[in-house]
Amino acid sequence: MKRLLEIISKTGIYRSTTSAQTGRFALMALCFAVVFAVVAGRLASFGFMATGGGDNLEALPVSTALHRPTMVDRKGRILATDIQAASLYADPQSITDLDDVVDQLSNVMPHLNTKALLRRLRGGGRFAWIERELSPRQQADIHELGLPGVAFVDEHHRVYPAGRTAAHVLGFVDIDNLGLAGMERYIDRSLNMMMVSSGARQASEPKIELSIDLGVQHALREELEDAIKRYQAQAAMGLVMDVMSGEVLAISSLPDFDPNQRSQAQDKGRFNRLTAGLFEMGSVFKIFTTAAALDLGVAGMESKYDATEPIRIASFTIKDFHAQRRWLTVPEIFTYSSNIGTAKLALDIGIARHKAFLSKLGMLQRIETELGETAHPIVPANWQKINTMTIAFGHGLSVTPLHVAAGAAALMNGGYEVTPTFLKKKPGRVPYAERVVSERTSKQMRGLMRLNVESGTARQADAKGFRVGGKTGTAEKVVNGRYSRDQLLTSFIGVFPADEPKYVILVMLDEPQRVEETQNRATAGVNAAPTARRFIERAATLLGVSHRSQTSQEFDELISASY
Amino acid sequence: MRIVTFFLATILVALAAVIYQVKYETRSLDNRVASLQRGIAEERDVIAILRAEWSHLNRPARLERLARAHLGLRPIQGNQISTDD
Repeated sequence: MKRLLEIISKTGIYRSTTSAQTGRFALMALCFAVVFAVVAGRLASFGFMATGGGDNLEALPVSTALHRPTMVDRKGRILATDIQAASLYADPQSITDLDDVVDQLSNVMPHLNTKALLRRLRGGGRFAWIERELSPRQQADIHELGLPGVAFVDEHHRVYPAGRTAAHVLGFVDIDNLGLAGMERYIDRSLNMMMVSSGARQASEPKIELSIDLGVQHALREELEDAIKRYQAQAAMGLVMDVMSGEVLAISSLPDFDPNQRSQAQDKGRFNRLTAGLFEMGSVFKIFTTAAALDLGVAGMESKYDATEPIRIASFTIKDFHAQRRWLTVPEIFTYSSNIGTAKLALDIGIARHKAFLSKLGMLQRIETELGETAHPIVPANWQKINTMTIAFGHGLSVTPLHVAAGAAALMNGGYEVTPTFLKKKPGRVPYAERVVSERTSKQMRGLMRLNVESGTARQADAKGFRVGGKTGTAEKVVNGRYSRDQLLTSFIGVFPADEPKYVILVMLDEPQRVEETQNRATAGVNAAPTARRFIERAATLLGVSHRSQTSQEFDELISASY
Repeated sequence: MRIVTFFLATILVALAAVIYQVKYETRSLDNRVASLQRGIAEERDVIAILRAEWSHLNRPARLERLARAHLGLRPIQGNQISTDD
């Protein structure tokens, strides 16, 4: 240090070397030393610090499409999941000979539209898709070509392993993995379920559990397909719902589509008729009229109504299909499916109360589900006496089949409102559900439904041992403004087991024909009802309904009391 | 005084060498972590594909077809079930 000072003093900067000056200089040097030490220490600490793995860019594969959560059925079977697929893109400006590149590519991918591709590549810009979602084989072949200016990017590609089985619930996605319909759209709308394209798969990925049971869904779809063949119907619909929670275990509307094939999904005829189709449901609507009459105390089980003569009102004539031409009790009106009797029941209820009851059951409003809103029921603008009389037996009010299933579930489950859902719920009744009819009415309605299967129009729905209850309905479709005698819409709404209700089932056939198997008849009792029976026999055990040869004694008494 | 200076300088060089080595070790470990993470992500992707394939092969429609063809099984009929109640 001393030597250093000597050298400095010799340079002549410091003319005199007083002790005070030396001290000042030493202080300066010390300051510099400290600052340099800090810098050196900081450098060393940078060296020791590990660069965090989280923000390491190398670990993130490039990915453009959104990553969607996996959907599973209520038993954990995969219904929709993401897999990786490579997509090919080009940077046109770094390609010298566009024609040659396109030519070579079309050798590997013969289906390629070369003209459109060339136009895209010549359109300027530095990015153009060539082909999305390549197969691994194609990717390898293109890689082999070693073309400059084209490159791959990994994308998420949505697959539906079960194919068309549950198509209408799942919906489908577009090429960018955005949900366009069904539960896929629901996932997009509830933002918290979307995972931003982080590429790297997380260890514990959230799964969306649907209410659907794949096995039951398959059985329902198969039976409906079989019914279309047997009865030469145009379309078929079916729905199975838990009466307590409103969970839809199976829903099928044929014709349907394969969600793996996007182009097919947007076909007009393949829409979900159960939520988007509006129908005059016909006689199945009588369950609501009868329940209203019983619940409001307008009629009892032993009340009698005159069904001897058709009712003439305005230009309408209300007739019975299974005309008895005598006075009928309420259970008889139900099992003979008497239009006259039901219309008179509705008149006794009164227009205002009838309307209020249907509204309370949700028949006059849209239903909000995860699949989106249902179609809005077509309610008469000016609800007159004639409307109440015809709506009583299911004409003059168009609702979706889902409305009927939800309403029936409420009547069957002890009288609590049911909101249909496609997500898995904890078992049991929704705790805050509102009561729509009394426990007693619900029991009576179950009795009537069972009675109708034992000895009424729905006899062919009797799946032995599963204690089915139900009501059939045959509605004439409106063709060119008139009710057609040949174009029918037949339906069956059922509950099983009727003595301890677990599920409601709805089966509908659009324009079933008079075929040999049904002795040239086409009413619901010979097509919709047996379809429901075949399904229940096949799926009841899957649904955990135990087989018992008889209904409980208490329930038998209830039924025999209604004779 | 000179010995101390020399001693400190040696320590400084030694420390620098150690830091240099540790730093490079860290970097290579980092790369290893990143490559392992990439590997894990790739494995997960493969698992996802295999799961999807498993579900596809186990779809009820296919199982039913195979059961009909090879096992002679049919959907259950109501009269095949009995209970002892």
